[in-house]
Amino acid sequence: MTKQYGFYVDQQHCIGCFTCQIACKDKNDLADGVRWRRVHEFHGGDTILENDVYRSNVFAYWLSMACNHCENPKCAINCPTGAMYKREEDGIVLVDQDKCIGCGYCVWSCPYEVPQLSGNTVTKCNFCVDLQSQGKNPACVDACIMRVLEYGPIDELRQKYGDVAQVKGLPDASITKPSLVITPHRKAIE
Amino acid sequence: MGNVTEAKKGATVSRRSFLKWSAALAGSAALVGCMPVSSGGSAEPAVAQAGERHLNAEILPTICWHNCGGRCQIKGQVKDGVLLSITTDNEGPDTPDNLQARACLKGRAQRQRLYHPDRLKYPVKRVGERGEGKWERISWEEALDTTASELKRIIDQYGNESVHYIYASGVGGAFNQSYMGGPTGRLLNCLGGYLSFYGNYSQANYMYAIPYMFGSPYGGSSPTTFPDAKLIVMFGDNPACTRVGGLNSTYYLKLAKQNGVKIIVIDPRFSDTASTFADQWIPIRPTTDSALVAALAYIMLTEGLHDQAFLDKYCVGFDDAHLPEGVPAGNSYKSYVMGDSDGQPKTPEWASSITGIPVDTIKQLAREIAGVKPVFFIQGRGMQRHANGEFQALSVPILAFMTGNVGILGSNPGLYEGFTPVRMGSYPAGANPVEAKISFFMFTDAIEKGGNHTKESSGLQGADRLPHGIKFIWNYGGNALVNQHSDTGRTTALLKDTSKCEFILGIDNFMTPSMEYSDIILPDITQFEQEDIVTRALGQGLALYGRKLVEPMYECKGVYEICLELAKRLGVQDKFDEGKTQEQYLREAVAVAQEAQPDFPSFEEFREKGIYKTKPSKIVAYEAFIKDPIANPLPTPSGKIEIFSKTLYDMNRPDEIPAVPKYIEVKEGPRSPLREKYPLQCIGHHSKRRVHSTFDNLPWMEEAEPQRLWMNPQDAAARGIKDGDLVKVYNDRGTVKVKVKITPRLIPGVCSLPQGAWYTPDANGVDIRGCINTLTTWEPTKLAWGNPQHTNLVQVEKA
Amino acid sequence: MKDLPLILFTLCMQAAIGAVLWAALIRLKDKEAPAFKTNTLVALILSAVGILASLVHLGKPLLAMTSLFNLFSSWLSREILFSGGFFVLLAISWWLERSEKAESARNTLAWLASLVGLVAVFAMGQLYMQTVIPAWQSANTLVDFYATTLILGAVVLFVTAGKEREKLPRLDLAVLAIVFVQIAFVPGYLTGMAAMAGAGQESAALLAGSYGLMTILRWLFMLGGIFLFVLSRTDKFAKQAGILYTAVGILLIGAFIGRFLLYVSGIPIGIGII
Ligand SMILES: Nc1nc2c(c(=O)[nH]1)N[C@H]1C(S)=C(S)[C@@H](COP(=O)(O)OP(=O)(O)OC[C@H]3O[C@@H](n4cnc5c(=O)[nH]c(N)nc54)[C@H](O)[C@@H]3O)O[C@H]1N2
Ligand SMILES: Nc1nc2c(c(=O)[nH]1)N[C@H]1C(S)=C(S)[C@@H](COP(=O)(O)OP(=O)(O)OC[C@H]3O[C@@H](n4cnc5c(=O)[nH]c(N)nc54)[C@H](O)[C@@H]3O)O[C@H]1N2
Ligand code: SF4
Ligand code: SF4
Ligand code: SF4
Ligand code: SF4
Ligand code: SF4
Ligand SMILES: [Mo]
Repeated sequence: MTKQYGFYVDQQHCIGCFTCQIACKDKNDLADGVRWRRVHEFHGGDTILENDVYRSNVFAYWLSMACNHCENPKCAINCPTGAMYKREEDGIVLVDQDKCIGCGYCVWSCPYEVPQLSGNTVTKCNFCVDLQSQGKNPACVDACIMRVLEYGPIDELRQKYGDVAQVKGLPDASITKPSLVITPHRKAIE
Repeated sequence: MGNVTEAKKGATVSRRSFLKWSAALAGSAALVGCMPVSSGGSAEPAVAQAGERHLNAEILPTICWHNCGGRCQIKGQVKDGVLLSITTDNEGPDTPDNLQARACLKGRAQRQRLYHPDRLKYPVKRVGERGEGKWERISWEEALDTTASELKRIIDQYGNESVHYIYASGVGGAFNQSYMGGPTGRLLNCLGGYLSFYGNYSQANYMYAIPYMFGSPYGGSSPTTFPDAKLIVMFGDNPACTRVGGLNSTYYLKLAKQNGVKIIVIDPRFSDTASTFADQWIPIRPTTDSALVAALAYIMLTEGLHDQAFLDKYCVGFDDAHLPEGVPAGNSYKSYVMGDSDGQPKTPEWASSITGIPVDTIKQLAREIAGVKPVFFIQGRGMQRHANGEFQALSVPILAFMTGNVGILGSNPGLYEGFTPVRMGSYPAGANPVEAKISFFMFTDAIEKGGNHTKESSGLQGADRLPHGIKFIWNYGGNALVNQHSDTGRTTALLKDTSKCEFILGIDNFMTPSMEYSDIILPDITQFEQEDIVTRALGQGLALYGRKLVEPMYECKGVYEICLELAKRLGVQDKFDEGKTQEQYLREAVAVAQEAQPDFPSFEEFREKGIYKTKPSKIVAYEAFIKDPIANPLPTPSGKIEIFSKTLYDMNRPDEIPAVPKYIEVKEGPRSPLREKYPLQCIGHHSKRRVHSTFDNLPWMEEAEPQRLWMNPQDAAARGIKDGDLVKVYNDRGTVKVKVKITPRLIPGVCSLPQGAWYTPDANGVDIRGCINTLTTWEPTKLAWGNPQHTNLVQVEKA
Repeated sequence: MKDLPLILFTLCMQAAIGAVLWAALIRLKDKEAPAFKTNTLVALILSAVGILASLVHLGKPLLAMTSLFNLFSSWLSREILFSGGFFVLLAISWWLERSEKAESARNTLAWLASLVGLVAVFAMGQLYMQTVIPAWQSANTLVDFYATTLILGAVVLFVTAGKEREKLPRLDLAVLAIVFVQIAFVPGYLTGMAAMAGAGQESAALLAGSYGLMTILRWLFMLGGIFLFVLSRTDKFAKQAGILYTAVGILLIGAFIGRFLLYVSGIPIGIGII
C-alpha cells in the first residue's frame, strides 16, 4: 500500500456540537437513523448531595467518529462479496453498493459501529473520496466549528499528533488498527 | 470514580417523521430528475457512488438568520433550481485572527427545514374555535382582504395602541425583520402606529438592572480577549451551546485554553462548556448566585483580599463611607455582607446552606479570584432568567470591582461580551406614533386585563393605562404567542377567548403552537427563497449577503409583499410604498455599510461573495472610564459604578428591590415551603439542536439530541426512574410527559427540560412533546417586569 | 423477530447435516441398516428451507451467489460454499438413493456430504467467532453448533425412520451425553463473559437477567426432551411413538430457545461498551 489516509480528532476541544455529523448527513443525503459520522457523548463519575452540599467528580466528553479506514479492516476481511474493500492507493475502505448484498456481516465485524444497514445494503463513511479527488477536504473536516478534525496520510498525522487511537470508551485498537489519531480529552485517559 | 458510559440516545426518530422526511427526500430527488449517479466511464463504482450529485452544482452564498446569538454564512449547492446540500464559509486560511464564519449543526440542516413536508403552503383561515386546529384553505385575496378589514375595524374601534406587534425573533434580516422593525413596522406606522414593547425574553432582567450600576446595559469585553485573561469565571453561561457559530465566543475559549487560561464554570449543570473547557465546575442551586457572591465578598473582606483603592476610586456604595448623600449608614453592600444591617453575616456557611456549595470551595474560590489578575468574569443569560434575575445579574460584577478587574486587558466585569458590529443599513420602518409600550412579557396581562393594564399594575411605559388592552396581534416570525411565553395552558385558554384579543394574524413557515392560535395564517418564504443581509458575530465583525437559492415554494409570499398588499387595501400605499424593490433597499443598506466601513465591498462584490469580515479587535470593558473616570464618567447619576443605586433605594421596596445586589429568596426557590409538594427546581436550558423552538421539527436534530428531561441519578433512583423512561413532570400550572436522560451532569434537586420543544397537548391537556413553558409562570420579575422562566418548582414521577 | 431467518438457517442446516452424518455412521457399522431414504429427503428439505431462510435475511437475495466471492478471507463465503456444497451433494445422493443406483457411489457421497456438512458447521462457528461480539467469540459457539448438529440430527433420523427406528442404535444415550457436554460448557462460558468488562458482561447479564428465565427454560427443555427421548427407547415405551414425538417437540423448542438466546445476547463491543 502506498499510503494510508486517516482522521485526526482533537478531543480536548470538541464541544459535541454535532455539526460534523449533520454536515456529513447533508452532503451524503443520508436517511434518518443513518449516520456516517457520529458524535458520541460519554460521561462518568457522580454528582451527589451529601450533608446538604454537592460533591462531584463528574466528567463528560465527546468523540466524533466516522469510519477509521482500518489497517486491519475486519469489515472487509469478513465481507463475503468483496463489496467492502480497501483501496490500494490510500487505504480507504469503501463499499461498492452494486456488489453489497446486505448480509450485515460487516456490521458484526466492525468494533466501531460504523457500517449501517440502510435500505437493502450497508453504507458507511467513504472519506468523501469524491471531494478528495477534486482536491477538496471531506465535508466533516471543513464543517467543524472548533477546528478539531483533520485528515491526511496517517503517518503524517501520527508524526504531528502522536499515535493514540484508543481512549476510554473506545474498543481495543489492536482489533482493527484504526487509521485514527486522537488527542484525548483530559478525562478520556487515565 | 464511576465507569465511563456512552449516553445512548435510543435514537427515537418517530416513524411518522421518518416517513415525512423520506417523502421530502423523494420530493427533492424527483425535482432534480432522480439525481443520476453517473459512474463516469471507468471510474471505480464505489467512488462514483460517493456522491457526485454535487458536481457542477452552483454554489451560492446564503445566510442563517435565526436568533441564536450569532449569524453564519451557509452556502447552497444548487442544481436545476433545487438545493442539494449546504456548505459553509470555507474561504481564506482560517487562522485565529481571520476565522471562517462556519455554521453550526442547525445551519447545516437548513435544507431539511426548507424542504420540510410540513411547510405552510397556502393561506388558511380558522373555521373552528380558535386553537381548535380546524382550517380552511383560502385565496391570498381573501386572506389579505379579511386581515385588512379586521385591522381597520380594530384600529377604528379600539385605537392603534390595541394593535400589538408581538415579540418575535425568528427573522433577523436587514430587510425582513420580525423584531419590531421591518415592513411590518412600517405598515403599522403608516396606519398610525402600534403597541410596542420593551425588554426581551433573552435578558430582560439583566438589561433593566445593569444600567442602575453602569448607566448602560452593554459594554463587556470581547471574547477575543479571553486568551488574555489568567482566569475566566463563568456564571450560568454555556457558550458551547448558545454562541457556537464560527466567529462566536466558543472558539475563543479554545484559544484561551491553549493559552493556559484557567476556566471555572458555576452552573447547576455540567454543561458542554463546563465539560469541555472547565478546570473546575462549581455546581450551584438555581437562583442563589447572589448568595455565593456575597459569601465570596465576605471572605475577601475578612481576609483583606479586596482592592479597596479601586472601590474607593470608582464605586459608589460599596461601604458606608461611600454612600450617596442622605443615605443612612448600614445600606452599603459591605454592611449587607458583614451583616451590619440584618444581623446575618454572609459567611461561607450561610451561603453554603443556600447554594449547596461546600464551604471550602467557597473559600478557595474567593482566594483564587482575588489571587490572580486579570480575571474575566462573565455571566450568561440563563442565570438572570429567574424570579430574582435582576439581582442575580447585578451581583456578578461585584467580584470584578472587589478585585479591580475592570478596564484591563483580559478582564471583564461580569457583563455579556462586547463586540464590534459591522454597521449596516436596514429597511426604514419609520417612527411609531404610539408611545405606550408594554413589557414584552406582559402581553398576556394586556389581553386579559383589557383596560386595566396600567403602569402600576403591569409596568406599562409611555402611558398610564391601555384603554382596551390588546385586540389585534401581529405575529410574524415568532413563537412567543404560546410556546416561548410562560404558562402555555393559561395562555392558550386566554387566547381561545375571541372577545378578548379579537384578531390574530400569523406569518410563519410552520404550523407552530403559536400559529395554531391565529385567525389567519399567511405562509412566508424562508431566507432561501429571497435575498437579504444579516450582521452579527462576537469575535469579528461580520456581514453576510444571502442569495436566493430556490424559487418561492408553494404559494408562499414574503412579508414585504404582504405588507404592501395590505397597505393598498388600507389606503396607505402612498405612504408605505416608496416604489423601491427589495434589491434597492438592500443596496441602500450596503451603502450605509460602505460609508461606515471604508473597505466594505461594492454591492455586486458583496452579493457575489456573500461575506464581509473585519479584523478582530480587542475590546476591554470600561477601559476609558478606568483610565480617567473624571474625563470619561459613566452615564450613572454619580458618574461612577453604582454598587448602591439611589434610584432603586428611592423605590422604597427594599425586600423585593434592594439598592445593593442582595440575595433575594424566590417563591419557587430552594428553600420554598412549596418544595414539599414540588421538590425539584426545573430549569430549561437552551440546547444546541434548536434555536428556541426553531428546528424542533427536524428529524436530523431529534436524531442528534432527542428532547429529554435531564435528571440526576439520585433523584431518579428515589423515584424508581430509569434512563429513557417516560416521566410526568408537573406542577399546578401543567403537566409534561417526556422521556428522561439520567445523568450526573446536573445536581440533585434540579431537573432541566431544554426549552423550545413544541407544546403538544393531548386530549387531557398534557404536553407530550416536552415544552418547558407548560410549567412556567406569568408572574413577572419585580423590577424589570421580565420573564422568570428558569424559576419553577415541579415534581417528577414515572408516567 | 429479526433474527428468525438466521435461527432457521442454522437450526435447519445443522439438523440436516446431523441427520446425514448419523445415517452414514450407522451404515458404517451396520451394512444392513435401513436405507434411510426418508431421512435423506427430510435432510434435503431441511437444508433447502435453511438456505431459503438465509436468503430472506439478505438485502438482495437475488445476488446471494456473489457471497461466494471472498473465500480467500471471509468465513461467510466459506459457510455458504460448504452449506451449498452439502446441499448439492445431498441432492445427488438422494437422487441416487431414489433410483437405487450406484450403491458404492451413494455411500461415498453420503460420506462426502457428511464431511462437507461438518466443515460447514465449522465455518458457521468461525463466522460467529470472527465477529466483534464476545458472546459469540468463545469456543462455546462451536461446541453449541456441533452439539446441536448431533442432537437434532439424531432426532431427525429417529423421526424419519418410522417403524424401523427400533433397529436403530441407542443414539438417545449419545445425545444425552452430548447435552451434558454442552451444559458442562455453560458455566465457564457465562463466567468467562461476566469477567469481561463491557459487551461480554452485558451479554452475561442479559442471559442471567432479562433472559434468565429463558436460559433456564432452555436447559429444562433440553434435559426434559432428552429424558423423554431416552424413555421412548426403553422397552416399556418403545411402541408408543407419541412419547418420541413429544420428546422431539420439546427438544426442538429447547434448541430454538437456545438459538434465540444466542442472537439476542449478541452484544457487539462498540463505542461506550468495551
Ligand atoms: N421557558 C423558557 N422560555 C423561553 C426561554 C427560556 O430560556 N425558557 N428563552 C426565551 C428567549 S431567550 C427567547 S429569545 C425567546 C425566543 O422566542 P421566539 O422569538 O418565539 O423564537 P422561536 O421559538 O425560535 O420562534 C421563531 C419563529 O420564527 C419562525 N421563522 C423562522 N424563520 C422564519 C422566516 O423566514 N419567516 C417567518 N415568517 N418565520 C420564520 C420559526 O418557524 C419560529 O416559529 O424564547 C424565550 N422563551
Ligand atoms: N443553540 C442555541 N443557541 C442559542 C439559543 C438557542 O435557543 N439555541 N438562544 C439564543 C438566545 S436568544 C439567547 S437569549 C441565549 C440564551 O443563553 P442563556 O440564557 O445563557 O442560556 P441558558 O441555557 O438558558 O442558560 C445558560 C446556563 O445557565 C445555567 N443556569 C440556569 N439557572 C442558573 C442559575 O440560577 N445560576 C447559574 N449560575 N446558572 C444557571 C443553565 O444550566 C445553563 O447552562 O442563547 C442564544 N443562543
Ligand atoms: S472502522 Fe469499521 S468499517 Fe471502518 S474500516 Fe474499520 S472495521 Fe471497517
Ligand atoms: S452487508 Fe454488504 S458490505 Fe457488508 S459484509 Fe455484507 S455484502 Fe459486504
Ligand atoms: S469523510 Fe465524508 S463521508 Fe466520511 S464522515 Fe466525513 S463527511 Fe461523512
Ligand atoms: S463539529 Fe467539531 S466540535 Fe462539533 S462535534 Fe464535530 S468534531 Fe466536535
Ligand atoms: S450558529 Fe446560529 S446563525 Fe450560525 S448556523 Fe447555527 S443557528 Fe445558524
Ligand atoms: Mo433570547
